[in-house]
Amino acid sequence: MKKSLREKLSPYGLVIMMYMIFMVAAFMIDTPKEIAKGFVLIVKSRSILVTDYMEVGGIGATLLNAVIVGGASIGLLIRSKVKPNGSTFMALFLTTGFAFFGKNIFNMIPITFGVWLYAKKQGEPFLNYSLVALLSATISPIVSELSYLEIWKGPMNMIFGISVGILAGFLFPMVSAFTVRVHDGYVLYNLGFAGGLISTFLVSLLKIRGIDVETVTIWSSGNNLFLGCLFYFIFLMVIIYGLIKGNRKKVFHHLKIIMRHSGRLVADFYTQFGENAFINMGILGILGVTVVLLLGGDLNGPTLSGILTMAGFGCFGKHLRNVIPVMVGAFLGTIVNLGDVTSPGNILAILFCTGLAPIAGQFGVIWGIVAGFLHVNFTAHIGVVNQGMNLYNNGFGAGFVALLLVPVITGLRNHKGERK
Amino acid sequence: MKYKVEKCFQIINDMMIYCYSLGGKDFQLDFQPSEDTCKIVLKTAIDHLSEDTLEELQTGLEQRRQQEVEGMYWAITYDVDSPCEPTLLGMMLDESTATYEDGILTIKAERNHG
Repeated sequence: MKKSLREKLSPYGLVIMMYMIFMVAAFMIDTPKEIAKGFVLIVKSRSILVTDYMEVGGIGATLLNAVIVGGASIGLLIRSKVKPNGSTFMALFLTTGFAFFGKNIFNMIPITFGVWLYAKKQGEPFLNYSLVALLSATISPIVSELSYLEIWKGPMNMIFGISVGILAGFLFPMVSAFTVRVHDGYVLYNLGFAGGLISTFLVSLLKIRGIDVETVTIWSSGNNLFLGCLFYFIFLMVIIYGLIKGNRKKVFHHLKIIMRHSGRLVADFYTQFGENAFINMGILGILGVTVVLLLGGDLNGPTLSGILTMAGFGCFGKHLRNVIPVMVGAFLGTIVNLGDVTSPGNILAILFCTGLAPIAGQFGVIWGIVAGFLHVNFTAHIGVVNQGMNLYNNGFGAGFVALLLVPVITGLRNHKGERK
Repeated sequence: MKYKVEKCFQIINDMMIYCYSLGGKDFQLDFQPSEDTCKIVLKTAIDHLSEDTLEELQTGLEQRRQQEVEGMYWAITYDVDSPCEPTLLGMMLDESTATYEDGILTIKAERNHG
């Protein structure tokens, strides 16, 4: 039986609710004219790391960009006949977050098309690669940067940028399928690791031709009050939504089971516990906002991206027990590296280090702290190899941390072969 | 789909590791691959299987198949220290059931290629 539009959209009620709040907030803070102007600036920006869309086009335009990117993503999922699961909500939250700094409707389409081409080549339904397609946003800057780099005159630049984006999208499913083997599921930001590899090779090829990509630091500040109130409200609504739609009698029981999970891929809390998983998401979102504010950091595009990513993984692996140790480790790392804890690199590393949460969940608090500590210091140096072309740079760094740490941990442990 | 039957071997491997982690011994496997599907029946003797564990297994195996996450599953190696969870096994299968009678845990599963 053909479903009505309402029936098709109904499973995405949580995300749609968030987008509606975004739109109300956008028009509260900016005029329609400012939003339209800002949106054009966002789409025309290089979008390379670190490009805070709130600084480029304003808060209103950034929220609009997030709604458009998110809406297109939901459309893609519905068209592909995906039945929502934990990874779906994770991908939507992550996509929405990165629409605050780096992903827009222009640079996401070629890469998504590339993934679609790969699915066609394999003779498989696009459904099988829908998750990869959404998360391929990590290499969105490739399209924008090459389109606006002005290597040639005229439209050739855009054709070049779009073509390379399609190629990168085509390669993405193959590379990302392999990178999971490298870290064995202990890095939740697997696509960031894959994207980092692709973009690193791309940058090296560009450099051979004398094309140098320069990173930027476009960072907004001074909006903590508005954005803090907005996102505390949003995450509170996420929790309330979960309480209304979920199984209220089993909330604490389900949260207790979630907290016992290591978080290692594939941990689908939504499939197991339904809308009760949204409560975990809301809790993590509130934690993220609170951490930034307590540390004296800025709530802006990049940090909100980290917070939304953390919240999104609340239905796909993360919970308080496995994120707190890595965040503590990352914080300790920022003290040792003598940098300002609120500097862009450090504050983002503290938020995004939670990609290594499964290490804390599986191997304990101490190893989680070690992972966070290594992550913040390693990631500070790894971004230079791909020159900001990989949005999930922390995922790239996390992959190497896990590559080193997991074999050391498992090698030091006695293989117990314990049975229940 | 590449490596259709080989993927079933990985599922069987993870099923056996899971059963072993529950105290399983004396495994018996009946595996019937065909052009369109693979049928698996795995029996293992377990001295004592709690109702909670059996319910967790049955609930997990009831999860509907999710092709979107299969790519991640194939790349991960599970072991006795951290076995594959029933929920994830359920996501890789089209149909699956688990019963426990007279000390024998029987898991029946079917996976269609594609």
